[in-house]
Amino acid sequence: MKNWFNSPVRLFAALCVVCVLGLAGYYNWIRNKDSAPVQTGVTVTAGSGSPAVVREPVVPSAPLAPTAIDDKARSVSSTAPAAKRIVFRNTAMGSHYGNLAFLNYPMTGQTPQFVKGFSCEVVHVAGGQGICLTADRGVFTTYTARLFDVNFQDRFTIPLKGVPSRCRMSPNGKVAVFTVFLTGHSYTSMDFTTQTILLETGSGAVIANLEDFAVTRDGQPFRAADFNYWGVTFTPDSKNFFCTLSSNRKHYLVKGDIASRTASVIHENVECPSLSPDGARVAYKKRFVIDNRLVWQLHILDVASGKEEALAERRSVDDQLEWLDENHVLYALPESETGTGTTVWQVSADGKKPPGVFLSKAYSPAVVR
Amino acid sequence: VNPVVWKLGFTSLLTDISAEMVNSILPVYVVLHLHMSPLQYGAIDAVYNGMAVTVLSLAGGVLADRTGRYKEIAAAGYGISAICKPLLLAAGGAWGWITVITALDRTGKGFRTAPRDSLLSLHSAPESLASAFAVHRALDAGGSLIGPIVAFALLSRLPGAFDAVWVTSSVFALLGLAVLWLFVDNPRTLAAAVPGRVSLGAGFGLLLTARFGKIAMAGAALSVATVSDGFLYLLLQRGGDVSSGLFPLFFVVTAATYMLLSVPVGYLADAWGRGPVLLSGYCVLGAIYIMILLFPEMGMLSRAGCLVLLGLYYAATEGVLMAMSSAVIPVALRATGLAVLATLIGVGKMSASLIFGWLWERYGASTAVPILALLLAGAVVLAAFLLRKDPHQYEELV
Repeated sequence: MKNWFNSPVRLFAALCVVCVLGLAGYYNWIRNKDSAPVQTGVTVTAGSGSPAVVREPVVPSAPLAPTAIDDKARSVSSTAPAAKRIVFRNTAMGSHYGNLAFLNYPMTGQTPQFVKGFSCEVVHVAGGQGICLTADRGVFTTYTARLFDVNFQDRFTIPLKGVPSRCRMSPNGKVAVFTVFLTGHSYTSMDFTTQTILLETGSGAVIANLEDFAVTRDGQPFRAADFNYWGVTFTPDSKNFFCTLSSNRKHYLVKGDIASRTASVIHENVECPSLSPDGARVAYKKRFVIDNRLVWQLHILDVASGKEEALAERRSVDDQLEWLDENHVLYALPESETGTGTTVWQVSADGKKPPGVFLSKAYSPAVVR
Repeated sequence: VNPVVWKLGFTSLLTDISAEMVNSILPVYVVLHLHMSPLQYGAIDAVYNGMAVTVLSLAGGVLADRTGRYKEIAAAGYGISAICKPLLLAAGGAWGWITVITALDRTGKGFRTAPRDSLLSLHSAPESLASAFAVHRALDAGGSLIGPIVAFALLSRLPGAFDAVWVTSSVFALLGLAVLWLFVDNPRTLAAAVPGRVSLGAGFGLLLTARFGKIAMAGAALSVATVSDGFLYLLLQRGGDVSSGLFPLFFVVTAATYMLLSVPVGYLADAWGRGPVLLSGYCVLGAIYIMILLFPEMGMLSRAGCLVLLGLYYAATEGVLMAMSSAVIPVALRATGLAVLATLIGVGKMSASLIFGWLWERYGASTAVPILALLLAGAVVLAAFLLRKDPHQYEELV
């Protein structure tokens, strides 16, 4: 036997056999591990093995889209909580990984419902319309934006030019927006630039690329080749938006007007803004560099006064926040250092109460009011 | 071509499958699955291009020449990169560790390149050096072509199972290392090496010798006019509606052309002369610059044509330059000299990308590309002057 292994060819052949067998066993193990039932969602008591296929108008008492809600009714909702629905991306490992899912709010005692055929990297729903950015993985991964309606029926699909980052739907459901990373090449430089595009949900047509907006800063025209936009949030009237504009390593908060294609800088060091339902405050992540590492801390900006206040979350959060109601915001954090699961957390917008888990195994929560 | 060249080629093929499996999905893993922003990913990229790699490649060269143990030093480099793959598994999503591991991986690459190329050249007859490098580079390109395909095939069968990619990558790395260890031997002519003479200083001293000095100067000048592929891909993508989902396709076309044309062009270089082939390669690169400049909105077919030309450019330059240098570097300083050349070219390319990036950002592509094209034209003229026909180019130096 010892003699036999003296030949390099035989030794190498033996090594190859061991490797092939080892890999085959390993793949098999992974596959079985994945198909084991996994508990989905914090409120679930039993494994949610059976996917709920949603094709009909969902529960009448909590329609996905209360189309006829006016702004007054919406502002009342902060004092008297109305029935809501939370739409999100499921991040529990298993056959529903990445699936679009939803729960009625309050969520006690429910199992998440999965929407068949909707795998989303990010999702947002408002005004009876939704947008979902999907990745079709393959040797050449392609990305698509899907605009869908109350019944989770596709209305339009738009091919994307890059890796999905954020998306938002305007409160009236008429304008959708998405941001993708246009990548360099993964083999060399990963110099990302962003592309942010406004879509008309009625026709699926592109309204504008934010790069084409005329920007002013302190009343002066502001232009640079390195402009990047991301993290759009719409005002309650759906006619304006706030977003981040980065240039020369600074991150400005700009307010844009969709009709006139103009925008103006109103604050600095604001990333991924999210307007409160009443439109008075912006929740965002503020950038700090600590020990050469990038750290984002959640803050609230009062738009009228320009006053900033830190929230009670001390961890670094890289997410665009979502308002649960006038007093609470939601955001996702990785579940652990290892693994791809995420947890949605909730923290009070007054900066006083500490954060708590809102929904585990979830990402990109959208609160349907 | 000596069988050792094929064996070293298969080592590189397997190692490149391993490396490119990881490289091709790391951005997606970091951005989409760890929910880290591209900016944080940029930190990884900065590590990738760090100067530490350059320093280590010089160390690898000197060490290989000092000890005469080219195979062992190269194996250490391959080993460092191989260890990184199971480490990725152990790191899980821990951010800091991914950065460290990526750096370590590049370190291994820097360390092994000069001793590996020395082995290639020391096992080859001087008159077939370009063919030897061509065969090796063809297999190398093949590996970088197969790697991403293996990775994506795995992920489409086992969605979200990044662990499976790291494990498979480890296995390929191990096999690559095994091929080197089991089948490749150090050259027997090593007695010629005089230990006392080898030092970094002696390596840089080679730059003062007439023949290597000219080649190195020509290589350095040409590298300053060579931007990274990333920029070229971006320029080609910019023109029209190319989704970045097709970005990998750009790479595939380039690598496939490189793989297919490397060997014929290498034979041509041995038969007709390496200098003319090298210069023609850079003229091809110039043609790409001009096409981008004149037809910014070119169609899909022309774009594919540019990518084919890019593959041809690689086939005509990368290995050929190493072959030219190997022919004039004394055996005792082979690895050190090759490392010095690689360092010069690395620094040159890095400055080219920095300058071009700055020009592009500041003045736009329509200014940056012509400047680059002019720079390249100047470099080609200079190189042509430096590399005028040398009748003694095959003479063995000791």
